[in-house]
Amino acid sequence: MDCRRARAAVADRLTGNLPEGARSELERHLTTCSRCREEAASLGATWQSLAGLSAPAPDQELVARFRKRLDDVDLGMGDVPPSRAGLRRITWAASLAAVFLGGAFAGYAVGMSRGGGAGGGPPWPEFLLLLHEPPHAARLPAEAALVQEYTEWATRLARDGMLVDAHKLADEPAVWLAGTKGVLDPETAPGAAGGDAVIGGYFVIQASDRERAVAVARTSPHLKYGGMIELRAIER
Amino acid sequence: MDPRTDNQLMLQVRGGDRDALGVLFERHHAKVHALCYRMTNSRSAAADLVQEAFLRILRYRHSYAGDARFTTWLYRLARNVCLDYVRSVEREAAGARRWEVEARTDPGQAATEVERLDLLQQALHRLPADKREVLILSRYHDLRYEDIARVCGCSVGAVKVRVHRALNELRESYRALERQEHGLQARAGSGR
Repeated sequence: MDCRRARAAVADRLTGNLPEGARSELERHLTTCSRCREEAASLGATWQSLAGLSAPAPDQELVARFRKRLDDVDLGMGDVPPSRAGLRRITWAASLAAVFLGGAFAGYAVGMSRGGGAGGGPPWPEFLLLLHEPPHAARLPAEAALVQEYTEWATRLARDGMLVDAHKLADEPAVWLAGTKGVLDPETAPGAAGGDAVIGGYFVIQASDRERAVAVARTSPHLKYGGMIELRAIER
Repeated sequence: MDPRTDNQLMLQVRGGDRDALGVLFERHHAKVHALCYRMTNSRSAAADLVQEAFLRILRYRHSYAGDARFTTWLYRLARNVCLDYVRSVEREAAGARRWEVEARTDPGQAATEVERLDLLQQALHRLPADKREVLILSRYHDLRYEDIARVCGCSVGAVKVRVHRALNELRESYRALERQEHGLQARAGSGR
């Protein structure tokens, strides 16, 4: 280890970030280089002296003050009502589960979808329907009726040979990645302040053309309950 | 002691549960307060900023991914709050600090431990915010370089370089303040 690397490694050792191998190398260098040894001692003293800088304990009233402030916070403006997650859970978990478990999807879609639509002929283009959750909770019918409505819609698509794939996305926070480190500032992540459109699930359908796909998407009960559908053609 | 983990509480906060945020505040506010205090060198500012950091949790709760430690995410919000504050008062604070150094004259008295720490505190506060924060997170919050990189939104390599430079600058700044202090004391002593 040369002096330049040794001096860079000193701070890593002090902060506990120097790997064991490099640590041994540094120790060896310090036994032979008096200038680096002095430098290490000097930086070490500075690091140690930082331990003496204590921070005052927070005011004992702080917790009570914060709780009081919390009570006054308006969750309405720009925020997503807590019932939103519940809406997603009800509509997607129940309806898609019903479609899959009932065999509608397996019976119709898998066998027919990739062969060019219900009537044969050249393959139909495929479209991705991203189902964004409603920005605000809608007034919903009873759960059973809601499930039936979504199920009937999905089953109809399957019977018409239009359903290629469909999945509900898990009710858990999205992981946002950006930059070379794959880290995204929580305050700049899409939807950070609650104004996003959370994607609750997706359908892949096939249709003769874009207009037909849009027309089918318009019949989805998702729109009726305030959700949005983003339709994109899949490039093959 | 609430048995729920930070992650469980945070998921409840995502659903709009204010009480869960209150529990998180009770659990972590002292650490965040210490971070805010060290970043700002102001107790009153720290008390405000720690609350602001936790209120930002509420505001940005939908961006909580649960893929990293909650405290890393929290520190990132707190760090942003502190930087906003530091930038807004930096000029005034620099003036105030100069005044403090010049006004403190205790002729003939050897530097006590309290004075030494006071100089170190000033030296720490003179570091640019990006260097000060990596030093604070490493020294007082035991965060490894990887976690500091997540908090600061930079690479591990950048953290490594910043810590090294910060420590060097802190030492030099402290020495400069010490020389300045001795000079003031010497002048005050010869003027008696």
